[in-house]
Amino acid sequence: MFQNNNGAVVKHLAKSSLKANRRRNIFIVLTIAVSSCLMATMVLLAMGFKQEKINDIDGQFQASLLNVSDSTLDALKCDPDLEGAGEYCSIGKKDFSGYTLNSIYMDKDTLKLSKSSWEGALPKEQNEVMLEKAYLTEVGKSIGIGGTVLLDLGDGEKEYRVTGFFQYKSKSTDASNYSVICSNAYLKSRLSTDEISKIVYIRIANSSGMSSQALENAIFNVAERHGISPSNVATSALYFNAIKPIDASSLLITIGVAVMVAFASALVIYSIFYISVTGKVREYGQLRTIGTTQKQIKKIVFWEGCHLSATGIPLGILVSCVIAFLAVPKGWNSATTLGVCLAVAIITFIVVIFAIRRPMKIAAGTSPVEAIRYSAASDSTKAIKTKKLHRKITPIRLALMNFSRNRKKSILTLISLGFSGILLMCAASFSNSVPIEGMARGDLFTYGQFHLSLSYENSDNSDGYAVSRIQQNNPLDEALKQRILSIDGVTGIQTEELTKVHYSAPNGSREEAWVSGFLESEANSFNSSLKSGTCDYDTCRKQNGIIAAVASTFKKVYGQEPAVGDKINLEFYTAKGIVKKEFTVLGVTDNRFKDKDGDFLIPEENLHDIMGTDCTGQFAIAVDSGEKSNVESALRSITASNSSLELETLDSIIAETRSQMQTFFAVVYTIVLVIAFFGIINLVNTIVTNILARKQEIGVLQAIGLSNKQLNQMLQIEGLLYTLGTIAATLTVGTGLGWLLCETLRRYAKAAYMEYRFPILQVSVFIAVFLIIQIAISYFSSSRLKKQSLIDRMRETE
Amino acid sequence: MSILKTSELKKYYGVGANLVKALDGVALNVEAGEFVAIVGTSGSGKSTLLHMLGGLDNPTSGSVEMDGKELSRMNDDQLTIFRRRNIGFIFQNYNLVPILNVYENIVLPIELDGKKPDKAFIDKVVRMLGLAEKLDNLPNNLSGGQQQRVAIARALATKPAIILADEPTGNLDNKTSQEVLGLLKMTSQQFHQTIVMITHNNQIAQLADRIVRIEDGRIVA
Repeated sequence: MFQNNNGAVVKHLAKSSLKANRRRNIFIVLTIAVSSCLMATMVLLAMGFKQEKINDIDGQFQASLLNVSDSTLDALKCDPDLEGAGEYCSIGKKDFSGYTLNSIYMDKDTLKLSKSSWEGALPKEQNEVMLEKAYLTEVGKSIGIGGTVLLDLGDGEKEYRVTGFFQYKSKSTDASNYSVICSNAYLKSRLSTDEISKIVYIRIANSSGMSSQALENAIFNVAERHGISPSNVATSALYFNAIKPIDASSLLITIGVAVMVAFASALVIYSIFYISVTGKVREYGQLRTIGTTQKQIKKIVFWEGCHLSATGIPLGILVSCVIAFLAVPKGWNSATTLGVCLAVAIITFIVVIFAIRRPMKIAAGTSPVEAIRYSAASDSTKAIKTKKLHRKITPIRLALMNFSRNRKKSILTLISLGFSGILLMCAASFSNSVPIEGMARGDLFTYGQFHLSLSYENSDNSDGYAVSRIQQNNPLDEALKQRILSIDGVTGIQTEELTKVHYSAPNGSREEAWVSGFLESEANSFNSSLKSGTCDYDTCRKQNGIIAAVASTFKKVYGQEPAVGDKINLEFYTAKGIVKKEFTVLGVTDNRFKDKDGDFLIPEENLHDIMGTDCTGQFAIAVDSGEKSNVESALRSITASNSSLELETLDSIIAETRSQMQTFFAVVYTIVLVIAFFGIINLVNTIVTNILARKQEIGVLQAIGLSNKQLNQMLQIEGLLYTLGTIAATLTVGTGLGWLLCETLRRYAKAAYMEYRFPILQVSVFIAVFLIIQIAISYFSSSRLKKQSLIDRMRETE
Repeated sequence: MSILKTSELKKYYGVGANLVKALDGVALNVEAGEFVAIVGTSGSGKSTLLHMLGGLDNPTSGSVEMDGKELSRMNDDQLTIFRRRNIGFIFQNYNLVPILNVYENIVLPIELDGKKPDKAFIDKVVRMLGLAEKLDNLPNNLSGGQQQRVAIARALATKPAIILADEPTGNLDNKTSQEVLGLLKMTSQQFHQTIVMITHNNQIAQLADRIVRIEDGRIVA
């Protein structure tokens, strides 16, 4: 059938409708903009950080090879499959008050592969060094290339000629640790051939963009070709971490948040469109009367949605791009940004269209007759009679009647508001129920405020003896224990015995692991936390039993959880050489045992028997809280005079935990705020439309005797009903879900430190802010109403 | 006894060349119990006059005195309270509150004043207007004539000093108009109720005790 092209007139009608609904448009554009902005920002930031990491590791080594002979190193350096191969060796460490000097040897390839910047040349002679510029700042010296410097690298103070300066790309968090690059000649003069344990850093050629699996294969292929056993290959966790794709759980969280935001914004857009469409029934009816088809009415509403999206989406995306660029400038990638923006635009547009589907149908369903009968004030009241003949009529009663005259509208607004209240409650319950100290203490810092432990920092992974060597001459001895106990304020010390072993994992690899000793007195308390088996001291002692801790970690690392009865083969590095032992698993646990760092636990006496020495690795020191700073400075002076000891304070862990949690909660609260913002837009729109759509009715009420005070009372109570509804939902459903969230996390996410606490502060603030906003909106809309004269308002629909 | 008196009542809109004199020195006197019809063409100022009489709008100058009280001396709230106690309104488009049933609409001004309705009197009015069967109906479900009868009942409910009716039959067909006018006339006689009615229809005006003609903001007869 022939049909006229009437697209233009539909667009024109849509445009006119848009012009007539400025307030509604602003609300919808804001909602669309904020939701697309939040979604895009979330994804852009995640990808930005990822990209930044990838950019960061570009050019960096991918693996380190151990026990490589000089000839193999030469061969590696010529291997065309490698972009570079550099050698590195740690020479020694010397502590000074306030900082530590590490003397190291490295060649130019290592300098490049560690992405360091440098000037001058690497040292060649025994008395030459290359320094970190930051070191000179630390000691307050200014020396140029070619100048000399007095340094004690652990072999007495000597004069060295400075051949250059270098700077690590990313300085470790411990800023008071400085490296001095020495010459090969110096290395040979300080350490015997046996003592020299070089590491070779390699990077595969043309490996940017390679998948982690392909890269790993390439690395092991190269190693195999050069006769290096897989156990001597250690891939760079930093590198592989950076290139691995975003993991499923964070992807799920992002999708979850996006869905929540999309849902909340859809609810608002739906609600606003619904209110506007039902308010324009007369208009649509008139259009229908003069011959507009249902399809055309639908198109008019559809075009309005498109138009508002066309403003809101680019606005939101633009803002998100600016945020992402400012937050992670180094992670900016135009191509991915464009892709993300396009995807978010499409998703948001779908959300908008989805949200306006029903309003579109309502508008199209308007019959011409309705236009005549309908007045904005009557809404969808279908009742013919009231149940009661005479309800007492007061401003409060009138407000209640108005609230329920269009239940659907009120409920929609309440759902959207309640949603934000409930979310806020969940977030607040969660943040309030994480005791920072409990979290910081975790399973490993349950006793005391200080951990004084052996420092293995300088030992490299291949050196099995590194720990036992320190333990042969253990500084954590009885004398030190007594010395610490004599410090004023120290109330007790708990010791932990542990040593490093190598574990032949079920997947064939040889992994490093820690074995802790336990006492007969501890056995009972451990028994209760076992997942399966027992922790009987005597059985363990007599039958070479072993307890495996954190079974899930084993599964993750070795693909298999240890089970009771399994055999575990460990290699101990004793003073007399490597001792291989087979143990039988007697017990398995999912968590770590309190204050036991070991992956495995055996009776302390067994540990002594095998190692032939005291294996104390840590003192957990408890102090009177008032004496904390005194004790800390006393302990610091102990670590300063002994480089194989290090001090960890509970306070620093708490501070670190707190800052991590703060960042996390900042993100959570931002999302909650955005959703609350949607709710508030909805509240404003509902209250304002409610009042403005009844201009004439309110005018009549005033004409026949509703005083200003009564009018304000009525309007405030109408608004208050939304607030009370929201507060009720927040306090009931919100509290319930908040508690459930904490309980679920505590039980199933191994967050035993969670203890539910009602977020009284957050809830009070929420209620107060909400009340203020609602009272202000009601007040402003009623005063806006009063600006128009009574007569004009009463004439409105005449 | 004079219940309503205006003198030199003026209402001007706009300035300079755009100045519109809606009311230009109106002097009107209405006696208690009188049924007065104000007749004029569209734009003659009759609606403006009614708004001034009802205290719905402020005059540019001049005074409106009702039951011995000068309206221009009252503030917004005093005026509202005065209105609900002393003036009953009947509008062309009925202006009932859609969420309230017939009975509630009738007693609304009394309830807003915090008073108890005089049940016997309301009953009498309801029966006289033939609304007894419709008391629990919502306005949407009434015909135009029925709605206007509710409006008349509402206007009568407070036993006001005066009822102001603005084209009360403007939206009704001939037969219904006659019915409503008959009721108004009966009200005036039975309750000795003062009524000022505005209309553009001379025939309708004939029902009143007295006809006042208004043209270009001035009373001409």
